[in-house]
Amino acid sequence: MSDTITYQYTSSSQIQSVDGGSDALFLSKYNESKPDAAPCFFWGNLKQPYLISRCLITLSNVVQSSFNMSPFQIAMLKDPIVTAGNERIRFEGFSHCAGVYARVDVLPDGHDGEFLQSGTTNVDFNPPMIAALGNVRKQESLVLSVGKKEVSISNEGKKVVERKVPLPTKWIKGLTTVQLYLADSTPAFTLNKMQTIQLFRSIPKGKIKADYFLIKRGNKWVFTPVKQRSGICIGGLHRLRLLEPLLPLAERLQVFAHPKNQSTTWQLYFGDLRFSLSLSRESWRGFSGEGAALEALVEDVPIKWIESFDHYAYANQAFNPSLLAIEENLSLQESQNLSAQLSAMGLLGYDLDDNEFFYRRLPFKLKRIMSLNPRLKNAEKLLEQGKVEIIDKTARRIEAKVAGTGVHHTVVIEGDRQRCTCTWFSKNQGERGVCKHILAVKKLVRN
Amino acid sequence: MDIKDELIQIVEASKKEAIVPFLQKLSIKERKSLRSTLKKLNKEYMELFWVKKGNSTWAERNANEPQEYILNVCNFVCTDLKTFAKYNSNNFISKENLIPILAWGCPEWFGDFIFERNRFFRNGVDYDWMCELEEQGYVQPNCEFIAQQVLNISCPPFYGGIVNSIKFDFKEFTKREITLKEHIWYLFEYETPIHWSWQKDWIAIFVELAKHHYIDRTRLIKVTLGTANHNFKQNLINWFVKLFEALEVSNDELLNLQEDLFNVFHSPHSKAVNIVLKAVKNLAKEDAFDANAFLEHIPNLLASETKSVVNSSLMILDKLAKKYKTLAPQICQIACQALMHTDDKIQMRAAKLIKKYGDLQDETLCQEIGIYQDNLLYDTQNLLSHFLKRVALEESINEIENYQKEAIIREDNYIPALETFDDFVFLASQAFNQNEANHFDLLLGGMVRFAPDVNKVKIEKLMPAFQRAYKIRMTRWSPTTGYLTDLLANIFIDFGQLLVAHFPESCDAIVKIHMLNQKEDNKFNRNVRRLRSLKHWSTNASMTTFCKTHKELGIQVLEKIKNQGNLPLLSTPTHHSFWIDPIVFVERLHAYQVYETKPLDIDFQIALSRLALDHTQNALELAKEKLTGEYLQLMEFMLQPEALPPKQINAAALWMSATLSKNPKKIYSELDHLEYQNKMPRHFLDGQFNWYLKLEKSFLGDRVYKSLAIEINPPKKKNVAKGLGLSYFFHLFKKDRPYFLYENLWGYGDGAYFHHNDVKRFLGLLPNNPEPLLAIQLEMLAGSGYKPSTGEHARVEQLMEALLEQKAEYKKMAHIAIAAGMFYCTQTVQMLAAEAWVKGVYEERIQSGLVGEIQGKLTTINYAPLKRLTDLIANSMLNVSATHNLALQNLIEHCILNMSAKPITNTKKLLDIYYELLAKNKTQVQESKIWQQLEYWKVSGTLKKVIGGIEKINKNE
Repeated sequence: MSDTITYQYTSSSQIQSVDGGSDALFLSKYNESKPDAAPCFFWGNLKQPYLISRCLITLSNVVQSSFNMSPFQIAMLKDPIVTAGNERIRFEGFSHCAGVYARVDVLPDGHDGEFLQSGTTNVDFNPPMIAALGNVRKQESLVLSVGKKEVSISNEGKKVVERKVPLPTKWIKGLTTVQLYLADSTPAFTLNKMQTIQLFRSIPKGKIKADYFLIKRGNKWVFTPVKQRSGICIGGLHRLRLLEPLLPLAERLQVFAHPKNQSTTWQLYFGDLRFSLSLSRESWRGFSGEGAALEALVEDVPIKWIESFDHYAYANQAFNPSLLAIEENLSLQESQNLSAQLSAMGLLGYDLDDNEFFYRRLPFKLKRIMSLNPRLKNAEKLLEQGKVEIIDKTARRIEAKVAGTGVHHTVVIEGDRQRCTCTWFSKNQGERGVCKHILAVKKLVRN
Repeated sequence: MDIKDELIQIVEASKKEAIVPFLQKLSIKERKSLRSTLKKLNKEYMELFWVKKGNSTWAERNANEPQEYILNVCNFVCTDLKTFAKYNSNNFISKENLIPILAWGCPEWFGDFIFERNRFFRNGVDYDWMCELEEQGYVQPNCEFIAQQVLNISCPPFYGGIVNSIKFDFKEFTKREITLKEHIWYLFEYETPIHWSWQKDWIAIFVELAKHHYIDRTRLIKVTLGTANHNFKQNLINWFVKLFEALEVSNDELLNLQEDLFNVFHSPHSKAVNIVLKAVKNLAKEDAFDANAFLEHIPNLLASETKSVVNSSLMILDKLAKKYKTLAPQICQIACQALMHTDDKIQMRAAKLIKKYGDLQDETLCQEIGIYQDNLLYDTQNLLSHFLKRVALEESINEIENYQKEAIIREDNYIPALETFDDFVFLASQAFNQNEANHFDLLLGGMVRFAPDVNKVKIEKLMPAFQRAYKIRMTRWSPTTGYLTDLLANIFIDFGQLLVAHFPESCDAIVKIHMLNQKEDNKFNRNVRRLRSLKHWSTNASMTTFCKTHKELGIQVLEKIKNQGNLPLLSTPTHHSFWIDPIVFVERLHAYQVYETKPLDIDFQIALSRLALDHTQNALELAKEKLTGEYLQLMEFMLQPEALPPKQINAAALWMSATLSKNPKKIYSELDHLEYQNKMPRHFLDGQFNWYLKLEKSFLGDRVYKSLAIEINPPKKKNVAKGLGLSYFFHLFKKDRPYFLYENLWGYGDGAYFHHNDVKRFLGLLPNNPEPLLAIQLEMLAGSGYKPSTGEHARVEQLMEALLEQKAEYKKMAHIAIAAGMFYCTQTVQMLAAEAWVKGVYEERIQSGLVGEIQGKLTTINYAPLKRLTDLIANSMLNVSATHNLALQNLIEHCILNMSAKPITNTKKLLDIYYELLAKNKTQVQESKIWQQLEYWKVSGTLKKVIGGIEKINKNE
């Protein structure tokens, strides 16, 4: 498989003047898994053109940012993806380091257009288009076109705009993992505009290594480096500065927190438009390496279910695992595994406000997506090489010996508590997903 | 002869002129067939190898110049991009070399190579040639590449005949129509090093191009403004700002570009915003000014962190409110947003505007002002009082009433005890990862408990931990490993050797790993070998002192294991981070009593200093029920606040440690007969050293750094503090004296050598009496914020966190640490110090006056900028609660009293806060010495106004 991905756009995204004096934001799209998909997903007016322009500029800032890489590594811009369907348009993107996830949601009342077909695609974000977005004003009318409505235009023999970038594996894996963190997150605090701006002004300058906690002291929200049980923990606080340009425009801020402090999501509301920014646990840890889906992937979910789901679902359609469990007579565990599996295959996103998954198929080849769990592959390799030996197995306790480098590691699984003597587990204590040794033992026991 | 042999012959004979005709006559398929031959030839001739001669080293190839050319041509024509890029000589891509080849041998990847792979070596293709290549259809350059190339266009300057007039020869710009029509504009869309361009004055070039109508001036102004919102580097944006200024845009021109001007307000670069605001200020008076559009963009400006931006915006709003009466209500409402700033000038400007143009009957406006009520400064509040009267104000919460001091022993900080051997295995495997500071003690506890139970299977389970311990010891130096972790690894390795001695039949694996590492270690000189017994453990002479107690503990614990003593250690913490539940302690002590075994001296004394003494009733009852003799006496003394030690005691060192743990401030006369009490200077025991400040200069390279030494003793007695002296005192005692914990804390150790992972572990030795240990660590703060070492930041952060976790009363050393911490160069440390103060005030454990006094003294020697303190107070310490405001006033008053008579920079801000506090607390300046200081300062013009305000408050005006 090539280690680069080539975005092939029929033309560049741009803002053009159209008849009647209004502007049209034309987003050029490309989907490597379905290059022949519908030429246009959405065409219509945006009701808050000024705000959506600002949100898209911020999204492009997120996409261009990186919090743990050298400038050399971030030389190439990755393009965001858009999902249009079910009356909603969602723009998603990751920072280069895969530690910051951003999404712009245009809700049903936020536009006045038609969904010619539903689907997900990469869209070209180029500097001139971003600059042009900066010129969009409040009173202006703006037409959004995801893909070209008139097929003939794209067939005029114009040259294809090609952009080769290193394969964004971190990105793709981040997109498949972050949803599981969002699904576990719950609303923590709501701040009004003034509180939000004041809070963000108190973010210390420079790169912040220490963990900070968001708490309310008196009537004021503050970030403090002191661990507080009532507060929510944020690693790499400086990443929040990406939201700063939007704060004066937002009505309120809702903060969502993961129960084990593994991520925080900061959602700004602008009427029928939302901007959410999710931060990973630390600035040097991307969502990509967190192994949240690993345990679910150990379980084998019948491929048939996944195929039929992929076949019948449409973009932005809500997916409720509990409902599926009732309808298909599945156990709750099975349905949760199914959502983790679907998410890991790039088929689900998560909407925190609606508190449910939504369908969207990532615009990358499936085999790229499925090759992204090295820890799981290593666990399978341990099994293939016969390095796992079950020492003791009762209903409550499993003990196994797994051959490591120069030593045998001990794995003990007691109910929800699982422990291993390897370096990865010793260091992270399960916070970043289980190690390959535990995965291998679980897989062996289940099979 | 086949083509492969022919090629080899050309290369071997260096026939430079033969290669082009040779390749030209081949079909594409034939050229590709040469790849395997080229692979060999490349390896032989083009591979780089290093040559060293004298002190110089350089890379060379076997190929001579013609051979290099021949193989470059072959690689270009026949191979893929990867091979060509690998062997390409940097100067091969040139017009001269490629013109004879491109027509018949241009590879598909040529464009990719020069645009992407050749990113850092673009000089081979200049602008002119790039255009030619595009015209001939060889490449399709992208816009970013073109922007880079445009910078290379030749544009020689010449004197225009008049003094200071320089003209440019625009011949190259006009050679192709597309250059000025399209290409030059890419400089405004893509990031280029135009601001570094020392060969050409691009600002002058653009001004001239516009002046002589080569390019459209309006478009130039428009795109220049547009750059402010591009994600360019700040230096580049500033260059475009300079260009905008150089263009000297007239008001008429600007009026036509208002939309573009207003869009600059969304730029994150304050320089661009300020310049445009300056221009807009002039435009606001014009009739054609689009006030409505301006108001759309104003929220961003009022939220700016740059004061001048907010001030200028308010000035423009004032002008607009004056001119457009109908817009006044909207403007007043918008101006309220500026009230979120804590700067007095900004608040006053906004308040004046609102008072001047706002309508008292406007409910929405009053509500909007109400939102900011908590943030309003005293004067602003007075100015807007009529508006505020109309809204129901939210009651400020006095949190101090709701604050509950938490107990030391709680469920949520319980450390699960090691129940099974598996628990010990999993603890051992993570103990070297420094996940928790108390793992050092827990592992020692586990070793004592589980040593007797080992067998072959269990040893195998421990092997990952042994592997890690050996790895740590064998690694010469690692920035992430603390010295105490290294010590722990040594203790664990020695524990392994003990197991080998006791259970030789079960410990093959340990023997194997030890021999393997020993073999490796023996390769080193005897003096630097790592696998030594614990007694000889050292990492470096200066480190050994602060690790001495832990090392001694390790030695004694191993001795205990060797003697098959398996009663649990007394000092193993039961609750985070280092606390021991007194009930558990009594149980442990009872076990020793039952088995008539004496605990280790060091273990017993550390345990006493870790005993949680806040809720002791149940433990006392248990002690009375289970203990007898001196153990009972000791526990009765420890667990009852008013209890006194008995006059007849056996274990002198133990009782001394007990009194210091229970109440370090109090000198118990019952123990006056002890040498520790009557011969030793008390400050070595309670840490209450005298301190003074002095300025030192250190030299690093050719720069001079200001740094400060907080010395805990006057210099002439420096050695006394650093350990030599203490040994001197102990020489007065008997030689075979029992172990005394405090005796071993002092030595040559220097706080600056602490590893950040060791700070909490070290302080964890004496949680009930941390002051002596804090004194040792204060060295870390000595350098204030000027030392740029990251390692030091981490250490100071750990120290501050430990202070926050401290349950004992803050005393002199803690006050110095908190006071100096507020001046530290990283905001995280400053905020931690501020939090320690906040917590200290809640729990009535801190003297704000003493903190202020230390800070005042620190300012007299220029320890750090006063701004750090004033910003911190404004952001993190002001308005926490009414009690905190009173404490803060006390802090500032003592700070003022100890500052020098000549005001330093930012004294005004400090006085502003003081003024605010006096007004909020409804108090007056009581101390006459403060007035004296303010009188001195009044001479300064900037302070006159605020001191006048303070005087007014005092007169109740």
